[in-house]
Amino acid sequence: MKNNYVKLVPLLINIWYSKQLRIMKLSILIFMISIIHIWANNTYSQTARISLDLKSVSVKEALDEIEKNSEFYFLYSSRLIDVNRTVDIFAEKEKIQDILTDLFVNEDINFLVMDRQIVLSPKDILKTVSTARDRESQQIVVTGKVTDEDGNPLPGVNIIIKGTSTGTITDMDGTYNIEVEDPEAILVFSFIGYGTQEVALSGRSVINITLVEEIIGMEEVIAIGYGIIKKSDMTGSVSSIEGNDIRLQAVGNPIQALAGIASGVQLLQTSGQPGSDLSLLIRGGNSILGSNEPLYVVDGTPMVSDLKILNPNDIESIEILKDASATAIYGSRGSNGVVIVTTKGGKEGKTDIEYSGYYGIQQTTKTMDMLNAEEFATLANVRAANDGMAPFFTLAEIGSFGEGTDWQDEVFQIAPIQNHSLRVSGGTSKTTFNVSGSYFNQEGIIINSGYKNLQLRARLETYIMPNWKFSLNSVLSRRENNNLHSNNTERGMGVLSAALGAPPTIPVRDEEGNYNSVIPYAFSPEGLENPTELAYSRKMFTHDNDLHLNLSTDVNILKNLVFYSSIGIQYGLGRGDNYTKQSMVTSIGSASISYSEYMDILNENILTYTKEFGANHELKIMGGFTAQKRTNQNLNASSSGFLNDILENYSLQSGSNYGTPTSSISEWTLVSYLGRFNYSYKGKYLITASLRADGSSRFGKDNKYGYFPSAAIAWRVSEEDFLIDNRLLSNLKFRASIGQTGNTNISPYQSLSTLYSNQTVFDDALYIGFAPGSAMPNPELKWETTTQINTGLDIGLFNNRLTLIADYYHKKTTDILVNIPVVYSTGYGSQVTNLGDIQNTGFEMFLNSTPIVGLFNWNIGVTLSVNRNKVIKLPGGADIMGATIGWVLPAMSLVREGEPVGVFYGYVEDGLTEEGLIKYVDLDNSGDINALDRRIIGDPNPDFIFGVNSNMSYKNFSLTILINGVYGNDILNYNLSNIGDSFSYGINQMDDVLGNYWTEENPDPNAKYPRVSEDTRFLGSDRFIEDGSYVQIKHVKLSYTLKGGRFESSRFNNSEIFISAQNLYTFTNYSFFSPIQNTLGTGISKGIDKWGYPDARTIMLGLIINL
Amino acid sequence: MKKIISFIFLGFSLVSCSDFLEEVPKDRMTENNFYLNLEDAKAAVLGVYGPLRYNMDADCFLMFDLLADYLEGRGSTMPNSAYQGLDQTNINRAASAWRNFYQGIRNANIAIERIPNINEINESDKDALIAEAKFLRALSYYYLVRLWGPVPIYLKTETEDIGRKPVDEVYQAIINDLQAGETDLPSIPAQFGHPTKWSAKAFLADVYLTIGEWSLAKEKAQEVIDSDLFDLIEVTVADDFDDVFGPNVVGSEEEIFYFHYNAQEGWGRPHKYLWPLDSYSNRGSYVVYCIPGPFFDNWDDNDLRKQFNIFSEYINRYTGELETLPESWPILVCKYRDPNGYYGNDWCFLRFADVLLIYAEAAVLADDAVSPLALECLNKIKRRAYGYPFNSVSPVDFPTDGWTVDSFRDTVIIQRAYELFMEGGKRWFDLKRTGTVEEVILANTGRVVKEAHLLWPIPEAEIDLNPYMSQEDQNPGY
Repeated sequence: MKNNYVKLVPLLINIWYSKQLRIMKLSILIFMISIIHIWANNTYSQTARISLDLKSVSVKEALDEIEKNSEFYFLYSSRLIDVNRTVDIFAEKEKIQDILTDLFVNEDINFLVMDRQIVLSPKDILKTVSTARDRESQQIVVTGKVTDEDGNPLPGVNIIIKGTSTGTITDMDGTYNIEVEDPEAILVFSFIGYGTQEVALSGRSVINITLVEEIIGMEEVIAIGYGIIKKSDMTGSVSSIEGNDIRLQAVGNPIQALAGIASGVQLLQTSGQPGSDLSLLIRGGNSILGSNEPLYVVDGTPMVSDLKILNPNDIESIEILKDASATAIYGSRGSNGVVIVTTKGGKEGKTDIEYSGYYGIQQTTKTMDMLNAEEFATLANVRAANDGMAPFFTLAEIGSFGEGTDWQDEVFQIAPIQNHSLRVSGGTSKTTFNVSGSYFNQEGIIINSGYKNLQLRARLETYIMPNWKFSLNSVLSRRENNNLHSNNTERGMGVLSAALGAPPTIPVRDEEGNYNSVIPYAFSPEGLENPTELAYSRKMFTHDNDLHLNLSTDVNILKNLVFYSSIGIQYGLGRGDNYTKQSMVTSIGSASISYSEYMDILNENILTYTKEFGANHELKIMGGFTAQKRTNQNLNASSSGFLNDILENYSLQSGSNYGTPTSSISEWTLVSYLGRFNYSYKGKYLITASLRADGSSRFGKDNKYGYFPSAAIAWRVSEEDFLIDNRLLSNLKFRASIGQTGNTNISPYQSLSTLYSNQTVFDDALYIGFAPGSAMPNPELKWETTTQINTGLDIGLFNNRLTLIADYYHKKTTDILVNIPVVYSTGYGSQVTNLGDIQNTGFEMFLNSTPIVGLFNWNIGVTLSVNRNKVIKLPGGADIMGATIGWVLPAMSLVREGEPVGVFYGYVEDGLTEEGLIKYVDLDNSGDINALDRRIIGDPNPDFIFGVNSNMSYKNFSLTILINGVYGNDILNYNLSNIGDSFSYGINQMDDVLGNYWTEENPDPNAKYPRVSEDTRFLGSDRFIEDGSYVQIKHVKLSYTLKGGRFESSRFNNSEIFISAQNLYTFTNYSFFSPIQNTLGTGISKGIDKWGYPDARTIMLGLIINL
Repeated sequence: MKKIISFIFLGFSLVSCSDFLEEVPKDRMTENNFYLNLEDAKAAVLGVYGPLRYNMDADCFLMFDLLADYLEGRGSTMPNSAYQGLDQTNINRAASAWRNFYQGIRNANIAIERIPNINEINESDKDALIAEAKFLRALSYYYLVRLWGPVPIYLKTETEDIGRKPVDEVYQAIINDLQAGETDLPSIPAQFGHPTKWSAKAFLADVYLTIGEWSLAKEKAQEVIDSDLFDLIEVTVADDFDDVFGPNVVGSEEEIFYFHYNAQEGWGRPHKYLWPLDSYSNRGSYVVYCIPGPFFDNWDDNDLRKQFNIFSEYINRYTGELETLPESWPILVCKYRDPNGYYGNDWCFLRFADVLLIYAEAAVLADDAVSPLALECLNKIKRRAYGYPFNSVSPVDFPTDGWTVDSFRDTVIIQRAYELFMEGGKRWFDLKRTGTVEEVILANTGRVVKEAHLLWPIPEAEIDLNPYMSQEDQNPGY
């Protein structure tokens, strides 16, 4: 209903301005009257009192006088209402109703008072509109009532006898009557925003009907690259998401809200740290090098980064382009999919003001069960005994320890999260605007961490001539990230690993209030820090400021020809502030400041030609040219040796010792020519073809240009004559596409032999040398190309109450760019090269259904995505290993022909030896355990991922539940190599070790943990591989909307209050904090959890106020 | 319409695409604009130092020294001194050391190949620069061969067969490089930190000693001694050793070839692994302990080197009180001390004391008798260690007779252990070349040395990627 209201307002205003009411428009007027009546706010009309004393004036003059003396204004047609009649009128502090009753006594005039607005109409208007021609034959009078799903009457619904121009509209009670000649006639009920229904009379004379709000508007237009297209004309595979579906989740980055909502899309996070990096994986990873991130395009501008500079509230819609026919127009950057975001613009008419916000609290979803102080000390003594040493603790000491310190309790906190945004939009017929501001503040669930995000956005559009439009889009974003020194640190050198590894026998602080050392014992390892002290003593702040401006113009050169040109500037300045307090014993106070800056300039010029030939042919041709240049610069400075901690890093010159400053700059350029052709025959047969040529500076001299063609066809079977009348099937479309896209996602200068400076000291001074870096140059470097075939099917049943979008795809990526290690003894470490072929095959579907409508409404959407990834070819068939994971375990991620990318590779355990050490399976039967005894022991790629998004509403209440899940992936739980290492390193262990470790008294070869000893060694084995499947109740929101009843007349109508929970519960067998961790990134070494910041559970209360 | 289209095409042609797409890095040199003159040539040679310094700075240095029978690591460094073979953490560290040595070799090869083509430089400058690069290349191979055994030899940037080459071939490559240094390097360094022809000779002496070429070792050491350019630094009290090892020393008569460090942030050696002398805390990443036992018991307390190198008591900088180290680690190292915490202490690859000791050992083995000069060399070292003038007879002089070759050699080896205490794995290499690893380590630490500990593992990535290597080429135990 709300949407209709919004659409009606400008219409009404048009009528008002024109003051030329015609009969033709009367049905609309009535319809307005009735609609507005629903929300009529009578407050003013109830309270306002008017005094008048007029003699021998015309009705018009009387009305004018009332308008002058009050806030009322009148809507009427002087052709229908005789306003020249002379009247006398006297009123003393009377209500408007009474005055009007007097004024129109004995006249056939209806007046409707809606707040300050009064509509005058003749009483017999319904009769006037109802077509009454030809009354001679036998006529059936059909009556009935039209209601909406909530049972409210729908006034102004158009009813037409199919095949004729005879029709009527419903009155204010939603009732209608119409005279029909043919008892078998079909009535067509239509109403803006509602699905049109056709009902055969079949001899009945009473037809009551409920209209359903349109679920998927087939005439909706959606954004595709460099243009828009009717949704029904899409030939490619696109997931569309409404801004409303994501706006109120407690997320700092809009893409975080996409998980589970769109099919074929997997959201990967590095960790749960506020503001940490996110990856959106569309149809599996094509690429090994760098990111598999899609290209993000906001209002036509390809973004430098992902959507973190956007406020979820500003998003009108998101389209995720998945197949090559959709993405090939982005050529060299389209191979990982394209995410197109359209932000909210202003609308002509009333100025809308909207506040939305929430406040919530977060806490960790889990804590780990660790040994308490007494158990810790006992285990230490076990180690001493096994290693032939005297006990570390006496029995008396052990007895006195008790539970000791719960370090997790010390570092975890209940943390607030809040978001506030304000949006003002509106405009005139020439100029529209939308300005908004938002503030997001998330404190971390671990002490001294958090994330803030401030945004200001403005979108202006103005027509300087009827065919010439200028648009300005601007965003200013500031993000402040208080990072925690935690992810990817281990053995107590980061806050989380310290919180789990620190001995529970030590209090946080000593009697004097100083932080205690957590490594006082002979068995204590180096490097373990007091977690509380570490959290507070190491500052790692980053501030990012981004300013994006895009100025564009659209000129309708000819009727069918539009020229679009834009200049986009994206500028960002980031600053990093680091300081380690000198109060930490290991520090003399060390400080650094780093600046990084990017500048991206993009010019796009697009010409679009649209033409309809006759009724059946529709043609759209687009061609263009774009040029882009990106510059990145960095500057770092540091110093150490401070007098105290007061100045932190803000005065580097106050340090006694200066570090070497560093700076760098890199640039790349891209020029592109692009073209696309769309043809539609009768809206049934659709053809799309596109071609883009990209020239990139980042490739070798002879490989700079790449060409990316695509073609697609679609057949809307439901538009064929044999199906057009089928009432069950509202939409059926087959789609097929093929195309190529590329990936240029590598750092510049990889094809050149470059030299870096390094320094050395002679006498006592620095001297500069030059030598190549560790990356071996590759002058042969060229595009990575993905060829994708897609076939898809769209089905809509029961007037689109049940829809299914299903796609099957096959992607083959050739010349894949990989940073491979090279033979170390060459002196180089790695080389970026076009390596081999990778294939992704998958199936995805989106099923959406509205099983229940009426007072109670239920909509449920289900996504399912299956992707199979396989390495087809590597040079010489040689394996590639990922990065070394940490101190304790070597590289375990493998790329091997015939296997998915990034499978885990390692040893297989076979119980324990007689000495209580781990026995590894000697796969090559060589008699000893060496590198050849490894095999594939896990796969981080899921079998399938799914999401369920349910929306239920009853009257003013609605309940949204979003569930998502991943099945069949493995996680490498690196953390176990620290806190499940049989105390060999001397840090605290999980309490799972109790009763589960090998002892001489009970030499169980199947004990979970080997001998507790400093000499016990662990290899990278299946011990660390766990099932990472999970089902997560990601978002639950219960809201109450102020609408209907007494809210109708309130100015807060359609405001909303809600309570919601984010990340409510996760069902998983994964033993550590969260199965959603990729601390070593989402490339080759994905699915590895190395002390990732835990996820938070959030409960919050929110409010949307519409004015 | 036509107008507009032609306008757009005009716009297109404004960008000349070939220029627009050319990559011109601004923050780094490329091969195209480098190797053009003498300054470039010097910088190319200096580029060899970077990766080698990096190795000597941190983990690798620590690993060498923790192999000695008198030191022990804590936590992740412990497996180095447990003699059971390396664990994964230290395997990774060893791999990183391997990469850095080979990166140094690559940089040396680039300099050696590029410099002859630079026309602007005169021949003697060219030869000197190439010889310096060769000296550093030899230094890299010297560590590689002693730590890993047979290793690939790259004497050019493009090398065909890169399989493991026998130890003899590696030593021959080292000797060839150093012989070039003997003739082409300058006699006096431009600055301390550059090798001279005497550095090359001293280095050759050390290499010959390692491979058992006694008379060649003696000959080269003799040449250095006879040059009269070097001498020991006078010491009367323990703290005087700061004139040899202290953070403020910038070159001395004793220096033959050092890697230099200074106090600037990031350019000191990260001696955070050692304890400062005036405070003790069990916190932080201090990992180096001394193993109490026969080694320290046998070391005379009057030896100033012992007083300088280690401590058991200290005056607390905060309280001013004398405190004793805890029982769990009663002895700690303080050789490379810097009260200011910057650790500009240089790292002595070869100093004159080494040369005297090399001469003493090599001469006795070559001559099969204890010559007066050999004894005098050994006495000089000991005299200074006790604070006596080292050029005149002192009460602590060794007896002039009663020696056998073996007893003399054993004495030299012990003096080397005291004199070259914690100087980059020299103790471990001494034990290895004298074939006494197992016996000495058992005696001084009670630990049995596993075979796997004698050679470091070849990095797995090297085996995986090097077409000339397979798993069979891996060192024993890995």
